[in-house]
Amino acid sequence: MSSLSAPLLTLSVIIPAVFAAGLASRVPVHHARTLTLAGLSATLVVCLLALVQVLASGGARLADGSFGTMFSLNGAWFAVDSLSAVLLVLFPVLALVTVAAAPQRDGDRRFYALSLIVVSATLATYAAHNVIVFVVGWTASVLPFVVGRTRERWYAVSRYTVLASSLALAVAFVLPSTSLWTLAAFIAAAILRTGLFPAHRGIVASLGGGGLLLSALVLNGYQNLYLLARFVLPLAAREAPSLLPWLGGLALLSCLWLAVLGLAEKRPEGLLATVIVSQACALFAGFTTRTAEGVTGALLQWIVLGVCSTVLIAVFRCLQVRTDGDIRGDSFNGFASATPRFAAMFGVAALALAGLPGTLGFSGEDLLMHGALVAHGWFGVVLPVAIALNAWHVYRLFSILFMGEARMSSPDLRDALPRERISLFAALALLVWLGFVPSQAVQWRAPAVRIILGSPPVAPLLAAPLVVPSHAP
Amino acid sequence: MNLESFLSPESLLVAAVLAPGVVFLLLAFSWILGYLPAERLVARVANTTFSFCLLALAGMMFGMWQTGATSVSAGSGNWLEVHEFRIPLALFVDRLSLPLVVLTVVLVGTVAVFSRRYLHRDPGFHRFFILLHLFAFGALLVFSSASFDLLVGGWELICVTSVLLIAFFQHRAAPARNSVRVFATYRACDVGLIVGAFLLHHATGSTRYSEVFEGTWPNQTVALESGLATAIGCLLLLAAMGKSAQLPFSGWMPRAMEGPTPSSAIFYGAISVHAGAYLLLRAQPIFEASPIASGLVVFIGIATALHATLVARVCTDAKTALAYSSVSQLGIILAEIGLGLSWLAVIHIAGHAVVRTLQFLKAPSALHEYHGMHAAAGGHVQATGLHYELLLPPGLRTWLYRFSLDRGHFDTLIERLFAQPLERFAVRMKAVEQHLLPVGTHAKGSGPRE
Repeated sequence: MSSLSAPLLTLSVIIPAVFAAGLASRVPVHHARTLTLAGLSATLVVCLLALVQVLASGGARLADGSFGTMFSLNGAWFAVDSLSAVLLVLFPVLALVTVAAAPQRDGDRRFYALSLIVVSATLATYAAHNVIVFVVGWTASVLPFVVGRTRERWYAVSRYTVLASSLALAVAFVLPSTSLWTLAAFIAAAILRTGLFPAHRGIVASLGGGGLLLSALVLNGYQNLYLLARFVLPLAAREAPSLLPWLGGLALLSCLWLAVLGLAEKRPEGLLATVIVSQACALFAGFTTRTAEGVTGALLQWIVLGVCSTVLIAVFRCLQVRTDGDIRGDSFNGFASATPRFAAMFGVAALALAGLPGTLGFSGEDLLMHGALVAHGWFGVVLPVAIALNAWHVYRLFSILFMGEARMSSPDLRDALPRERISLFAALALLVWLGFVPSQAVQWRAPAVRIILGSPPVAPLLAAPLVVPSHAP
Repeated sequence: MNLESFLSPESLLVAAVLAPGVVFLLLAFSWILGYLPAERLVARVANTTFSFCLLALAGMMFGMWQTGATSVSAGSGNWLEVHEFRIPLALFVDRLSLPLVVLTVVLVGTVAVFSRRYLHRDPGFHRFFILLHLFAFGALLVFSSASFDLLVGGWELICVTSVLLIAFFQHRAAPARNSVRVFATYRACDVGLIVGAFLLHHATGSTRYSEVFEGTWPNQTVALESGLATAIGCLLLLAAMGKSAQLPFSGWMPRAMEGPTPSSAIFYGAISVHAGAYLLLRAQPIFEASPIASGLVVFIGIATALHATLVARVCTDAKTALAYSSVSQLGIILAEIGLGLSWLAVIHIAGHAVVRTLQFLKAPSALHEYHGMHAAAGGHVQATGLHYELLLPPGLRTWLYRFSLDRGHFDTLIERLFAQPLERFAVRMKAVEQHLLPVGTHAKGSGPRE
């Protein structure tokens, strides 16, 4: 296996962690956002350099540079290939948007430090070349839930995410070799963290509850999908191929189930969470089709879901803070008259999530639906129906928030500030640009599709390198 | 690129279709970034755009006339290609789509000119023109796409612009509520188009018209077995029923009248509602291969025409009456398509679109014109319209009046038989989940402070 020219992956994990530690010292709170943005920007640059080297090598798997192997138990700690390289860039971008658009009221040192820790942990999971690193990254990324201040948050999320993390740990440390049990534990971890039935309630509640921005950032990492794409699918294809259609069926039904439950959801934040988790189930279903269309669609929609949910939740949080939490779910709020730019950005993100043409969402959903119909036949119709329902939910949510008579309690509502406008607009511009040239995005993800559909990996063992199929022909 | 290739029919077609899309992007991005151009500038940009489109189409038709071509194909390659799935990046106009492309440019341009004064100083002036350009792009994409996949893109754009313009007067609750309802109908029916396009792709290996159908319109054939043709035909019909407000989905039409009059004219009188009829005309070989599907088209068309003409007679406002008149004509157009009278349907679409646009644009001044007509006639003008009604027995007349007043009870039936049971099911399931998997309610956690 070739190496990167420098220990870029180690740096991408260490830089945010160092900045997080720096925030714990006596940094004035009004400098905390600047410091966090600087840390995330540096991380992004390092990840971009890694991506460039992966692209230059034709999508090969590259181990970290010499510094990264110094403390390893068995070979390199970190490695990157086409599957993880794009994610390594995407996640710091999402974190940058989240931090830049975060309301002042949320901006305490704890928020920024936890954001940086989540970034560090998530990047460690993506770049892991070693079971211990993978499990540590997986577990550390849920830290904001564990150290949450409210009792509700603990109840809502930690129960499920920590359980999922524990299962992943069990796989790594307890099971001795590749077996169906290993696969089952991996699948359980992926299901629990994605929010497939019956685990959906915990994940929906995590977004619907307090700590909106941080919980959204944690879940936007979608390490569960990474686990699925990297390990579960190749393992299942070898150990239990007949399991995949069932897993796909469960994901499709979960997607539809959540879309139907959205009809009963009256709280705007609950509806938003329901739609996002339902769409994540659609991605899960796309991966399990093991068709080129379905997997490519899932990889494209991963980008769309990450960007859209970041924008939607950031706008919602800004409105929540500006109105002091006074957002009604049972009547129209009429925010569009005071915040037209928030309305436009929310509308574009919502419709992109629903597959608006001119955004990457259109191509992604088209491919996803095609893959589902190819893999599941008439049963695959569940996916277009669920996506249609979700589209209706997001439009309904848009109407509830922005249409109708302006609320008397919010006459002085301020529209998007320059930092909010620029960060959210940049994220949406990415979706629009890729929407016009989807073949570019497909080209980027084609090696990753080959990896996912390629040969199965060797089973993970304690402290053994996670051997993954290298750039299948 | 030399001048000759720049002025070729293919290049002119691409320019005419893309121009509104480019202007939309410019207007939308400049607005988001904080620049709000003057009304006069926006109106001039719109006039220039649609004049340019018209000139480009005239040039394209001149080129076709010179070479004796009956169709123009522009673009090659694929916009998106994954394994066996391809969305061709290609435009195509033939004897079916050319009249509709020209009609779209002329009527959208007319509405743009009308709207400059009609919406003068309206807070949503810029929003209207931004959406009008997006709609024009979507409609041109529907009529000039070379494949069903690309048609879906334009189809969705029409859907989005339609609902956003229904909610144009967003400070009132009714338009917002109605736009949500219309969006639900559109999305439910669009599933038919998506699955139908997939099945077509699965059966023929492509959704490109030139690969799916053999021959030139209207003498095309398709190599599909009857059962599959029936399935695909029924799915495409579902999509067309939604877009063209056919039974039982016609209830969205009066709700859509909440939008400003120019958008009602261009969407529900002229272009948008005819997109469903265009889809059926484009897929006509599939219907010819399936007597069941074509019979269904005729049945739904005639039933809708009868229903809509009854409802139009009891409407108390001009725009709703016009909307149901449109639905009635669309029913007749669908019946013509089902009977295989393709040319008649195209001529009907063109004539209906022009007349209905005029009627919609004149609707706000109907009362003024009514008084003008009375004054010109020198006094009272006798009421008209009571002809066939007088032939019916009084009991049936009363029943029909009630039936028409509730718009055939279709909205009520959909509400009671489908929407309400589904919502009740969702509420019950949520309650069951809450009971079995309690994870907290988050009433405290949803506040503004983290």
